[in-house]
Amino acid sequence: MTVLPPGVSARTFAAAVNAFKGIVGDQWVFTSDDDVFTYRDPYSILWDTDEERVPSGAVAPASVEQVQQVVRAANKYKVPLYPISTGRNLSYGGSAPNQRGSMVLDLKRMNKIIKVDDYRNFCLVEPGVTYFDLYNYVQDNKLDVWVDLPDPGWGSPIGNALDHGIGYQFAAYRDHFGAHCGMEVVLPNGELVRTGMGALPGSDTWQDFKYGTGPMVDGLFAQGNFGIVTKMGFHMMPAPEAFLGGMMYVPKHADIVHLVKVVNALEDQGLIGMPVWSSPVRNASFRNGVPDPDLVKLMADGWPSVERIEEYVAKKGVPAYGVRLQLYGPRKTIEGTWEYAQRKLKALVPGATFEEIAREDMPPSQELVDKLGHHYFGVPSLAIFSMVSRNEQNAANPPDGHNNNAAILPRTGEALMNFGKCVMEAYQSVGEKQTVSPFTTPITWHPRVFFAGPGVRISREDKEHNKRQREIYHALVNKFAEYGYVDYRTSPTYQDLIVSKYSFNNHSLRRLHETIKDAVDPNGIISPGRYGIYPKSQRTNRV
Amino acid sequence: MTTEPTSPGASRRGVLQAGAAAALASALPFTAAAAMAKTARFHKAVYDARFPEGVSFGAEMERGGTPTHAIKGDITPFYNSLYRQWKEAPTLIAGLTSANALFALELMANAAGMRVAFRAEQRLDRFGAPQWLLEGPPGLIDAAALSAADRDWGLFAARLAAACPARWSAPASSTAACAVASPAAVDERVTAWVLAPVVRI
Repeated sequence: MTVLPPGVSARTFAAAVNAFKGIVGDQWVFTSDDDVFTYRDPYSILWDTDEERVPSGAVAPASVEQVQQVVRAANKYKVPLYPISTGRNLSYGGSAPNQRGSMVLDLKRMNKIIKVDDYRNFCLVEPGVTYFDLYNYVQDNKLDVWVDLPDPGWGSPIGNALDHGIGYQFAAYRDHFGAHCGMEVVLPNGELVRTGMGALPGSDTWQDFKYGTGPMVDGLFAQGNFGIVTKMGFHMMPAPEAFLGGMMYVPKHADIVHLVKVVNALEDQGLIGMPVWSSPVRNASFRNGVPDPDLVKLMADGWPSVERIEEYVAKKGVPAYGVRLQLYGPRKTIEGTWEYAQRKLKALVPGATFEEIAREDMPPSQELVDKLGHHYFGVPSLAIFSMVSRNEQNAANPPDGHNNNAAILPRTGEALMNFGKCVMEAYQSVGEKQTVSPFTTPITWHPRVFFAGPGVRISREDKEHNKRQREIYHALVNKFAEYGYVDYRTSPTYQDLIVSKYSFNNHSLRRLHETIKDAVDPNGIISPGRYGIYPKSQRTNRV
Repeated sequence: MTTEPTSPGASRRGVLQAGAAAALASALPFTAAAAMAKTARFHKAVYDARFPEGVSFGAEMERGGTPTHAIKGDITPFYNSLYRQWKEAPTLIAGLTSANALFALELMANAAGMRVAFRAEQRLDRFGAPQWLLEGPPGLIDAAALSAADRDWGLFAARLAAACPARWSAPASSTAACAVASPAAVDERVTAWVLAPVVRI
């Protein structure tokens, strides 16, 4: 049964559907229950509830001109559109809209790789292009560039970048929105805009210089609802000559302060790809997700002192923290960088230890890709689905997906040493008694900050479980905000919550976004509610 | 062997008398080759060689003349080859893999105009005992549920898959649960399935 958009009658909706069919063809408008099912978010924590963000249908245009016509028709009938590239950003909403009853604008048919240039090192693609497409194209044409991609690799470079998604290589590339250069956008009134040098007729530098002249508006179209991106360029990394992987370990808990300092310096000089953080002592403290009795005892009386934590680490007899450095570049350069990294850390932490784990000329061998992870070498994969089990018999239970919760922390050892306390307080605020480890290891997807935070698991069959998990998610976000953290990206379920925390000067940033929304999209046609930005008529809908 | 419907009305077991079981079972195809000659032409079959059921599923598919692709957990190479194929046209495929592998393929299949036409997934019942949950065309599932005792599940699943229609046309499906005689040793949901192109009416 069709879930209609808010305020749209069945008759008006039927007229809109007919208009869409007239534009894209009957076979590319989907309104049957079976078809709509495929646009639901497989990881929805609201699965099968009245709140689930189920679309009314989907329309799949094949060209920019069709997108423009669909947008004009949507304005006429006041039917909201939710554009997706491939809709594979699971944990962040997938293909389901922010607003129940929206029509998904599925851009999968716009899947042309317009250009990959391995002389100036960029690409220009349409939204339906996936990382598999781009990788296959580079391989088939023997081009001398690497694709920086997320894990898994089935998504779209445009969709991922517009969600502020990430990769795993050098900082300049793994911030995918940061690596973009030039956009083409259909505005909510159907007008077509090109940003940066794309606005200059005859320019051949659209994918080289992102600023052009005047204010740069590209950011409005990422995590926003001000237009539909139909083309986008990205800078690409020239294929490196060699790779070296090296582990650096520090023995004590407090040594993390020094380890972070050294890694920050390496990262900010552009010498390493994404550092991969670990904690051998934490790994030694859990078995199948269950804390060992020593850790339970350590954490039993509230947050322990640094001295007690150090005693615990010493007793375990393994390093407190480790980090894997990923060095790409000329052979001699990365060997020199590895020597430099060891020397810098040894000067701060005499007890530090080092292990070279890989040194290989590129392209990588299959053995290296399997050992360290395909995404570090720009090879798209779905291997994560064979590693993160979705069954009843292991820690990934319930098995029906997860919602990530990655708070933004300052890139300091001190922040990591205190973050567990923040998580523990959040759990305690909602009566959760699980043991929190004091050994937080961050993810450095975006290069100048740390991300950390426990997510929640989802069941399609147990609504009470999901309700409880939502309470926990809210408690975590609320506590994180007290510490000045909060997520960089989240599922539509929590976007209002997250955005509400960015509240400086009585939510002046959100009010600015809404002022722009009212100006460029007065009918609220594009993704109403996305990241807390509602059209004027719907601001009372904020969760 | 036990069978029970997973939801009221979902299975038609209630209308089937025990005496009819043998007749229905005998109506099932007993060789994949014979079934495929009538009902299916698989572009390819994929199986996870970590599972005993997968190995026998793959062997039966090969006996029926279907090209097979073996994996060990990671579905990526098969996904990428299908991805290229389905850009040209959707094709009928079958598999016995983890539920995770099917999850990845199913999302790609949906976008390419295909659906899961048959699914047999190993799950735990509320008492923790393994069972197969079957979902697919009503006649096939009812018959399968009644003839599922103590058999080689990989072989049986291959024959069920081969008996599926080659096109998916309507959301009419039946579900049933069958006890597992010998659960898989690997700690993942083992799933047999068919992905079929949608026929729009």
